[in-house]
Amino acid sequence: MLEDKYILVVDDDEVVRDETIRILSEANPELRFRQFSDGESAFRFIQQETETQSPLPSVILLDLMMPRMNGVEFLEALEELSDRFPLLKSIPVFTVTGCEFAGLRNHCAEFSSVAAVVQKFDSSQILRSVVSAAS
Amino acid sequence: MPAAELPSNENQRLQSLRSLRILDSARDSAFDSIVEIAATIAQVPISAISLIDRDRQWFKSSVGLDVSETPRCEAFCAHAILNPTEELVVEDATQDPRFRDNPLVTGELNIRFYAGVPLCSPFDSMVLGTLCVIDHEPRKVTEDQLSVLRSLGRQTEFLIKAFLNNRKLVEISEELDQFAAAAAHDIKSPLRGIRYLADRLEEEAAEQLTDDTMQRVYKIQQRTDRLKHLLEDLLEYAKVGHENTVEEPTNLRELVSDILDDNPLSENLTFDFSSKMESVSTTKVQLARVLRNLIGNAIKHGHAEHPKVEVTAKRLNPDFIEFVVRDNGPGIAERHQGRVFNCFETLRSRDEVEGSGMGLAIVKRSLDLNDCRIQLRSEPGKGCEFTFTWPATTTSCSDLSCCNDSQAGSTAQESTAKDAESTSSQIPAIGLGIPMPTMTNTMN
Repeated sequence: MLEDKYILVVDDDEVVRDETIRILSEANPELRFRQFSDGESAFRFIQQETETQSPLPSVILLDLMMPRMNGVEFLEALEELSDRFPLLKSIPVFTVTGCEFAGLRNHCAEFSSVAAVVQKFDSSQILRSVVSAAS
Repeated sequence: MPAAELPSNENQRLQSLRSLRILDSARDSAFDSIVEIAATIAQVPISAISLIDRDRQWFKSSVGLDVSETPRCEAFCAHAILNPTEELVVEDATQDPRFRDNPLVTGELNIRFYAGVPLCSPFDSMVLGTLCVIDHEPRKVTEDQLSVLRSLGRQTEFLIKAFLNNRKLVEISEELDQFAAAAAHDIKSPLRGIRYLADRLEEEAAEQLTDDTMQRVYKIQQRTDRLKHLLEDLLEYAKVGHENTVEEPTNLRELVSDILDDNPLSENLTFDFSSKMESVSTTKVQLARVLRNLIGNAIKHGHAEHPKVEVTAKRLNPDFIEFVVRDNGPGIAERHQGRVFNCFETLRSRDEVEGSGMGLAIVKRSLDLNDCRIQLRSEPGKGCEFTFTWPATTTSCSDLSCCNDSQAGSTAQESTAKDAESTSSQIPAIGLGIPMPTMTNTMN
């Protein structure tokens, strides 16, 4: 069952995904990841896994500023989908954002699926919240 | 009752009115003053600035009326705008076929006398509405009164222009803030990526790289950090004057102590804060910014082996505090003193001392916005002393005694010596170790 567990990393910057995965792997080498570079492809993946009853991510790390489907739109789509698939409601989402957009941060915190809004590049904060939620 | 006919250019007129975005705007004391003066001059109980919208007249401001709008079909002002170049005067509405069966005349409002000066758009001369005066009794209006009303009408048009310009400025400023935030995010992210990749290179390839190549990796890291700090300082500079300016209770000792906690302190730094005031009421965020930059500057440019920074605060008068921030560094030659408050200005090379050159520019800008002055006293080898005033009122009575002290001629040295308590970091304060510099240069 453990090999089914994974963390979904959604960020349009490859270097940020790389860094995030590295930080988390150093803390817990057992952790596994799936990564996507925009909200749309990540959401399509979730939708597909949900409908085929495949293993869902234990945690979602979500960037907010992304092309095509941004973080907030992803959260809205996820909320809508979880009406049909309540299991989705149990996945904690950590939205990752810079400090420049206070309004956006507050908006994210209103989603019930959002466990916490974490500061972009604050590796210790990301570590603390994600590792505890994923293990 | 005949409703007023529509002006021939009604569509353009409405477009012009709505482009001003003044309809349904908040109450504004500048407009209120106009109607108050108009009512007083005309010696009537009612006056209004009425703007004629498609179906209503909306009052930007009024006295003697308790509604914000009335239907256009009843409006006297809808008649008045038909001739934009001349005022409409109705001495007794019951004698005027246009108004005698108007509900405003026959009903509760009981209008008899009306005089309205047409208001035109300052941008395209389209008629917008009127400045009008109204009475419940029939009356005549003198030529002098009409002349004042006309002048007030022109003033109202200036105010409308200022209203729109002001609104545009607020919007531009908001757009700029959003732009800066977005730009900062979009620059910071790849910058962060570069730093991360350089760190990986250092960690993973250090063995294979020659010393020269490793030096270049370090320089990438250093330059990236420099750019990041510059970006942060530029954003800080842009932010000055854009925050709220609400005064709040501020504990000066805590404020300085918090700033010190944020600074990387060298082992040997001596820091001394002396003040007889604890709590004042001031714009805390802005004062913190000024002190943070001056203290940061003093630490950075202090004596190489035994840096020492002193901050004193004393009450200058009931409205202002005077702060002095002093270091024991190499000082600044007179010929350079005029430049230190410019953006991007550093007197030592970036490789010698890291710095964006924005710190003192941020200080100067914050002080300028408060109409405060800063003075730099320095000579080579004898440190720098920055003296500035800051608006802050008293919140405790102990503060008053300090004010009296300073009036009695107490100097900074005396107040330091008398001050029992001082916020010291690591090493206790040892009083003033710097001879008073003699050279003076005033910036304003």
